[in-house]
Amino acid sequence: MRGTKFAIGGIRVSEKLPNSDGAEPSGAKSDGLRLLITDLISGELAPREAERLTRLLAKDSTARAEYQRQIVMHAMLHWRYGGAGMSDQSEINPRTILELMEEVEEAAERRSRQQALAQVRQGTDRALQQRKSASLGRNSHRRARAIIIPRSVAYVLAGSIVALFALVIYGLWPQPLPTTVATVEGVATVEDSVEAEWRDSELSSSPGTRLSRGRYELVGGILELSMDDGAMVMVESPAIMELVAAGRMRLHRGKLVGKVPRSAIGFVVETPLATLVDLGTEFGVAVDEHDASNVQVFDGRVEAVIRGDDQRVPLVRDQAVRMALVDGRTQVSVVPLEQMQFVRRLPNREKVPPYAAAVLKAKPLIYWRFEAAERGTVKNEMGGRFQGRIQTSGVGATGLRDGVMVFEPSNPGLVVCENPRDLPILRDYSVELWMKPARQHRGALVSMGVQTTDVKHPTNSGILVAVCGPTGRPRDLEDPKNRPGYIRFLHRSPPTEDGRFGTSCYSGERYTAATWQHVVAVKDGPEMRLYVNGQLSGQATDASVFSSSFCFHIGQLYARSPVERPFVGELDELAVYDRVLRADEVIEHFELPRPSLHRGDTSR
Amino acid sequence: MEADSQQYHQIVTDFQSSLYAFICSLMGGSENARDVLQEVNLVLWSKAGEYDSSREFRPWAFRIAYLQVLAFRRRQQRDRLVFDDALINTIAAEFVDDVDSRLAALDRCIDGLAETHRDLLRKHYEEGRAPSSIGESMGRTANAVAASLYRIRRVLAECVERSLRLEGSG
Repeated sequence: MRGTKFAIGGIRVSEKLPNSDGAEPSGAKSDGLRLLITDLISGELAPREAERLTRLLAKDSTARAEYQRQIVMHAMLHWRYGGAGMSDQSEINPRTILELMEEVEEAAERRSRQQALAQVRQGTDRALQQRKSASLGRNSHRRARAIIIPRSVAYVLAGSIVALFALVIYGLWPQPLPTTVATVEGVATVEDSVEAEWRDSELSSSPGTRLSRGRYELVGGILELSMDDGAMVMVESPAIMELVAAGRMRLHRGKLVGKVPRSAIGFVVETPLATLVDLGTEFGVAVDEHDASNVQVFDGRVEAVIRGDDQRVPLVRDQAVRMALVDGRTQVSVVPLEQMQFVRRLPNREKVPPYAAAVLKAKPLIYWRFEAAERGTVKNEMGGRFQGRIQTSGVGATGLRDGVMVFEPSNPGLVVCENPRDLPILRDYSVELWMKPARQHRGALVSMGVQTTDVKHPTNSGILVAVCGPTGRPRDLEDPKNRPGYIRFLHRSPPTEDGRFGTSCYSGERYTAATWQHVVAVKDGPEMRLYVNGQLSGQATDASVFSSSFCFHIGQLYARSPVERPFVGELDELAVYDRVLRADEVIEHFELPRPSLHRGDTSR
Repeated sequence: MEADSQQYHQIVTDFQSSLYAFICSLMGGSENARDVLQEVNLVLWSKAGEYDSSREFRPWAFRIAYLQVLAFRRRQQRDRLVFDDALINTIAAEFVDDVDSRLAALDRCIDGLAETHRDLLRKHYEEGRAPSSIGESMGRTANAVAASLYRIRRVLAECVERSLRLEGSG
């Protein structure tokens, strides 16, 4: 290994350059190449520099090798992390060929639009006039496609697009529309509702009800609307909103969650203090009685244009801000993301059993019901992220059976959470599940930790919910931490495999083999609680919190070989919360019948 | 016929990551690469009947991708482009396609990175944040962030190459 230093942007960056098969260009030439490639990948390569890079690559095969190494890794990382819509590419279905053709046409259209955008920026007044007249004349269910922009391009052009929107939308916050619903054509349709109630009692909230432009007050329940431009909006009572157009609404009070597919990019929610322009995403907005609003982005991107000045606040996934009026000016502050604040999905009461409805209402981050697996993937009922991937050796019957996850002794398998790096488990959390151990044994039900490069201990445990059993080692008989027959809830921060650290909370009673049991592990500030079948069964104290994200899996101690502490038996209805599950919720959940019960299992 | 169609579908699907890396390599980055990949898929599908299953799929698919990149280049304004046709041709000829096996090794290599570096990758590649945006939240310059990303890519590329060599020898 050899090390060099080079200056970038006034900061000295230490850069270790490995001697990779002698293929590394050296010295100033290497630094120059590195800067050129960096700028190229960042999309900031000036034309003159591009010429320089072209000349360099054309004549120097070593430079080309370095370029290929960087660009291929860049592409692989894009692919691996699913950025820029890469996940859409992983499976090409021949039946989608027509959609593909449409996309290609759209792509061509978009490219020509990029050029048009530059012209539009030169004449913002003209753009304002065009937007106004367009909105007056709009009578189509599909909005104009001038705002459909691919995500990758949107990243680059976001600033300019929003500048355009800021100009055309800002200042158009007119006088509130009359409370009486206008009799012009509809702009949205009620898709579904749960106990929804309008202030105007004559208005229906049944699915299929068309809503026209106008002001609405939702005094009870939750309502799911599909806007005519394709955006889906979940409104939670109490709320006062105005439907302005197929792609635009105002929120005066209350909460909504917008889910905006690519076809509806550009959907706008106006709040008293800001205009939110969606760039293809899922986001939540809450407006309180002082006109202050909280905005959270669950996925994708949103741009908030502050009313009254030109400030634009770009927001990406898992970011949240609060906008409030202080001394006559809108102040924007970053606030913690609160997953609990918004209802993002409406339970289908006809299909969802009461137990599942209760868990959905409790808003876990992860809810694996194990009802069915599509290509080995267990769905997270709470949304796209944190799905489970079933991993088995392919021998034996480990996998889903009759709506539960079965772990067979002949085939130790596990279910690994996909993309778990964002799992925001820090201080308070809860893990809830139903388990039916085949026998008394030592097996890991739920394991969260940090991956290591240690071959023997590939995971440093942070959170563990496990059944205890004989270890087979005589010395463990004297170990107070080994309590065969009991349930163990371990909290260990920082995560490590060193058994001397962390705090274990054990159940007060032995678990029962071949019987379904409801288990909930709760970390509430410094308190650890373990509930079994609705009863508080064990308590412990540990004030430590987590500071890093986890990998997360069930069925074994480690997420990869060696197989350690495989759980043998059945597991169902797993939920992970980033909050404390209260005792009354634990009891409520336990008392509801486990959904898979009707499938012939009478042991609960 | 149905079996042929399914087989073709599978081959095209299996080659998506390789084609994407190839296109990025010819275009000098990932901007617009996705659109070009869509165009390549469209051509691959429209030419499904012409594909001779006794011949290797890879050179055929890469040839189509190469032509699509050149076609894309012709449609673009010249100042938006990086490489000329001759260099694109050279890069295409030297492209080593083992992206699939590299991707399999990549996960293990990412797991071996420091948490701060994984976080940086996630911000850039998963959230799509530019180095300037990441830098703002970390109190670093955009250039420093871009340099870190360069170094991480280098370390990962070497780790992946080492893994492949070990697998090859083991």
